[in-house]
Amino acid sequence: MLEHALPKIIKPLTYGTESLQFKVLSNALNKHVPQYGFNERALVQSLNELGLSSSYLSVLASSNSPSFFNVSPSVLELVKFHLVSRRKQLITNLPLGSDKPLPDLKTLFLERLRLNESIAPHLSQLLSIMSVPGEFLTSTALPELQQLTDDMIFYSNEQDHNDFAWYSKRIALSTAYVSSELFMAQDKSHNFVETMEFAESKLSKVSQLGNMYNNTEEYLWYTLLSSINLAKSQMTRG
Amino acid sequence: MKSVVSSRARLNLVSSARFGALRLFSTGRAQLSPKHAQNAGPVEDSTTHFGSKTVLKEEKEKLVGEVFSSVASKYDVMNDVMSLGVHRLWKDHFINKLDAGKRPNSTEPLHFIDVAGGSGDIAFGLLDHAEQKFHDVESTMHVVDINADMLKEGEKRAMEQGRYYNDPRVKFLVQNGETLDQIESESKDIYTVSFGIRNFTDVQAGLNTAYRVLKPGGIFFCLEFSKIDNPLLNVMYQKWSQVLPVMGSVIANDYDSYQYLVESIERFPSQEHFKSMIEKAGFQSAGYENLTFGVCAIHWGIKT
Repeated sequence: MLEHALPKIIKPLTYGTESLQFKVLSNALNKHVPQYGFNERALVQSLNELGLSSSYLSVLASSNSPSFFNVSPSVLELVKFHLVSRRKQLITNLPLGSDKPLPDLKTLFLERLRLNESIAPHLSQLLSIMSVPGEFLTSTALPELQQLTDDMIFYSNEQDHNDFAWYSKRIALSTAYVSSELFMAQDKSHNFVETMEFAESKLSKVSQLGNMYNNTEEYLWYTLLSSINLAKSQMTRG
Repeated sequence: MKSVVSSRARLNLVSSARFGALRLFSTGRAQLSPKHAQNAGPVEDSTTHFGSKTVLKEEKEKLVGEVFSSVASKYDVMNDVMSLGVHRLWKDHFINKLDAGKRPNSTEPLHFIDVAGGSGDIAFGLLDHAEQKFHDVESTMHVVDINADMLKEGEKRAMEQGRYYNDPRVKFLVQNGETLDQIESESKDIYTVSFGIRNFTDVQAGLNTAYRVLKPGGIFFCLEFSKIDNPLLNVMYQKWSQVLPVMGSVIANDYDSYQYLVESIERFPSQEHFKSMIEKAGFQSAGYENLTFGVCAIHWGIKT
């Protein structure tokens, strides 16, 4: 099918910003999730407000497979919507078209954590839904985490390398992000000051790791070249 | 295929001639191959497929009716044998995935319609799910089937289990799924059809009617046999489907009906094709989920 003929959808969601699904979910996420958490209650409140019947929960749920160990498929869609919409929100205000410099990695990282502020009391619930072993973990939660760290690196002024460091950097950043979210779930400080401090220290460890990686690489190259040279010089001596 | 045809001829002689019209068509198969129908030109528009045969559109409804009248009483046993019991898991998954029912803090009850649902297993399953999970005892259900015999089977089952029989919430109706002329437009929240839509004479007309009867915001949910994507498994599946009519003749003493079931599965469009048909009817956010490597698939679409 031609690209322009497709309705504008926000991948990996199957609907666009104009759709009814988007309205229901964003309304639930902004108004009712802060109060009720990630559950059907928040969704039903949103449906009642928009004058829709509970059959719409089935509509929301349709692209997810029910899992015996996890919450209902419509709540999984709410979690998916949270992950995707917040990730998109992070890059909407960036100066992508202009010559202005892109923000640094730390700014984007802390900005994404701030987007969790309204749902912070329910973060542990959110993280537990995402970490239940099953289809949702492998097809949504992990790919979204990988997408998020990839976006953070791509849309910041961070240098990227097309070698093994590409993977190391993303894995390190993902670990830092998940541990910061876990910290945030328990954080009671004003304006999440402690979370931000924690995140900054984690990030500096990531860059330390990067330095260590570079130094190790440089050392290994040096050792390799000098051993070759040593061998060569021994060979010329005969 | 050849061996099946010959064994089929033998079994035709053995089995009783209860279903005359069907037998007549079996013998007329050579003249009615799809190739001939295409050559016939203008006749093509008025024909459709009945299994691997090409028949007149007016005939298909009658022929399908005969198949289901003949299998109605042994429907469940045969389903178990044919799918090795997996059809129960598929239906269970279907109901869980739909996860429908009036939620405790919701305001309006739901209106279901289960098309081609004569045996009632999906309809009763949906209502049970809604009651057990959400304490919903208000939502209504229309069980609709073109075949009065299948519908009686469902009513009998409701009577035996002592639920949903003479219940104002549940109505049984003999209706053609392509027209649903007694169902008002925009009156239903959830339209389900399980293992039924491939028997429609005109599948697209059935989908258009589904779109008509659903309210805006309603959902179309369909469980149907589909195409296997793995070539190796597909070979095994084809072998399995050659055995099915023989088992049909042993268990239900009815070779032809099961031969029809197998052929109609082969003729049904692939996942992507059927999805595009759902979209053509006007549904949005259409999609599908394969079950058991694509032996079966759940399709859905949303009326917005």
